[in-house]
Amino acid sequence: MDYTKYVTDGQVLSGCEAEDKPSLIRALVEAASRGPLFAANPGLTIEAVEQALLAREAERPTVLAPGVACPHARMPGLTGAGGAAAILKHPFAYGSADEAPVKIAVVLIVPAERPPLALRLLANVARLGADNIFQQIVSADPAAAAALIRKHVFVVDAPLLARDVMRPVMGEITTGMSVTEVARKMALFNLDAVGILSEDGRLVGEITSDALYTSGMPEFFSQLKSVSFIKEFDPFDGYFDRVAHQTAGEVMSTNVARVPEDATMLEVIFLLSVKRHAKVYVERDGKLAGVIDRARVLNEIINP
Amino acid sequence: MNTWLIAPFTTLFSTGATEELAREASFGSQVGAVVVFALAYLGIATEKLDKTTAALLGAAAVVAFHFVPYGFALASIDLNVIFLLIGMMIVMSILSDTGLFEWIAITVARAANGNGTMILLFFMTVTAVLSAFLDNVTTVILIAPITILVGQILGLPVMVFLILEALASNIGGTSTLIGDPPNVLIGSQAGLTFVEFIENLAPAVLVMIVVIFPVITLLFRKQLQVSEEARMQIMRAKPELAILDPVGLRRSLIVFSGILAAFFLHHAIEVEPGLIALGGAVILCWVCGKDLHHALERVEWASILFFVGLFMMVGALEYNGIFEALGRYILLATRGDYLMTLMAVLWFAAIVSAIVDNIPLVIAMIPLIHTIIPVFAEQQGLAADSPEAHAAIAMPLFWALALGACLGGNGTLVGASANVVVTQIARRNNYPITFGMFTFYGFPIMIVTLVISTIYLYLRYFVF
Repeated sequence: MDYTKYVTDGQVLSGCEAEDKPSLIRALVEAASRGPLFAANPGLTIEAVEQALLAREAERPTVLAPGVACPHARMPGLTGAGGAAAILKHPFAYGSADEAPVKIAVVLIVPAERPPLALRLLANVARLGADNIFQQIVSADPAAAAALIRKHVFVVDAPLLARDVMRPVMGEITTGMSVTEVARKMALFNLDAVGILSEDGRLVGEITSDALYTSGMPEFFSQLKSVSFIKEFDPFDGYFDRVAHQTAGEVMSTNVARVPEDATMLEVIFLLSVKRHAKVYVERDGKLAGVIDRARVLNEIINP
Repeated sequence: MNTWLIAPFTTLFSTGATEELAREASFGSQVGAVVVFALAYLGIATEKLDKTTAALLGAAAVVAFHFVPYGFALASIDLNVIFLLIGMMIVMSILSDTGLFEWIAITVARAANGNGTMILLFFMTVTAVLSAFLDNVTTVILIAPITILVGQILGLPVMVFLILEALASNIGGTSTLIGDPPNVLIGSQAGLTFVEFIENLAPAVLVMIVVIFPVITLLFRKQLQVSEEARMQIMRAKPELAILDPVGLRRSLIVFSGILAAFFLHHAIEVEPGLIALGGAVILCWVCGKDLHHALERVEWASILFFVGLFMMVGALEYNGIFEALGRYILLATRGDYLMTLMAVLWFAAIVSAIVDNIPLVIAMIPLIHTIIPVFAEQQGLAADSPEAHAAIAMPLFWALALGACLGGNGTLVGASANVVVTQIARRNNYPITFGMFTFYGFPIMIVTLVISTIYLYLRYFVF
């Protein structure tokens, strides 16, 4: 579906002067307000959109790709989707974990009733932002970059793919690592499941916290309806001692959900929900390129 | 084939069509039915085949090769047994969800004051009592996890506890119609009531519990020492927290009491136990707000189909007059002496049950016993189908079969399903119970219980 009719050339600012997040968002909302989306939705106000965008940013900075931010707001009862984009004259730190300066910002204003639409538009921004050629064009020819944004961001004609929602791999774990080390990394990065890599970087297995608990805790616990009646029994050192001294390769499961980068969201969600995998691992050229977990997909669908 | 041979085998749900299907069996058909049964039995006994697979393949074979008409094979499936098993499985799954069994176990451990010797005695007794009203396998599945937990807290020999609990469940299960699958089969196919089971078998079981359990406990007392610190951990446990759903528990116990009451009265109200159990299970689901479909998912359908396959195979043997022939051999071996036959049934059933699964044995033995009842009835001047013959001839033979099949299961690890299940639970929790270890405990106890049974049967039915 083509939403470019809601975004005019004037709404892509090729030399934005803003130097902080609030002024950038204000500039982008004002630009958006001059376009057809606001005209088609008379009840839509600059203040309401600005407030929604800032509230969303307060939850988590919306940096989707290196140097690319995408503040987005879901507004109820909206007809169509639109927004505005800016190429910053003076890139600034946006509050993301990598603290990299943002030089492109795209504001998306989407109907609250259509979460998948927001997801697709966000994926478009992420895809464009990750494109090296586009990044070069941004530096060399801001006007051309603005045209590309208008052309590629506001068109929803391709299905959402695994590469659009995957996260980078955190805490690389190889088969030779001890379970103690694996558990430490899982706690450090707050992960429920981790992919296990061979020495040459291929994905060979997975360890989940669920599996580690199952390995450590004696089986009879699973047959009990509760244990709250026992108040003073702390046998866990003994229970987990054996597992702790094993390596990741020894305890990992080889039943891993792996998909190529161009796998559709339907495939991904099928693996997560129906096949009950904790994570889907996205591969590129036989190597692990990213991961998609349940929370990630749910959040993107429910709260894009 | 004589019609009196067919009549006792037909189920409560079969129709006159069964008799119409009877015909003179050919020699080939007789040999075929025996070979199929023997092969299936071999597969079950050696565990080369999954037991349900073996039973269903055997059932399919006897029908496919026309060793028995399909209608006769279907009529041989005792739906009373099937309903009883399904109903009780559902009842138990709902009862166990309330946390009742954890509560019982931890309350018992506290009542024993954390004393290892008393805990063993109490746990064996509780297991035996529960087994009288629940299936043995269900009982050990429920009691084993909490036993391991208590054993680990107190530093008690978990494997000894688990083995003795399996033995206790087989002993306790002997006392009622619903306590052990062989009794379910005997009760249904021999037309024996719940009360008759208790009147005739519970006294023998009570003697076994009173005599054997304290002796066993004393023998193991040196292994049952508990540190003061561990003992206090048990004493500070809070059993009331084990109950997860007090309202559901109250409702479940009311319905369960109703089911037990109906079992006691089933002869008077003329409702078969299978229908009581199944009806009770449905009512329990409704009263406790449980989804019936979810409850049905927890039925062990593989076990149910195992029974179906066995019934069909035994139906083929029955159709071909095999039991009549075997009956003649037994009478020849025992020279037509009733006491000797009774003891032969007891010890034969026990020895075979110690070696292989007792369920197929009992399914095959029931029609066999039916064939020899008329001979002894005639000896005593009674009509074969008279109530007097039933009381004086049939019932003692079936009690001997029940005692032999249930208690014989204690002889070895593979003798009863409860033994196998306990061993599997133990192994999964790093307590490797070996065949030899189980036999070391089980075989002497089997012999003692059989000696008690022998004396009991003699005194009860030949002296008093």
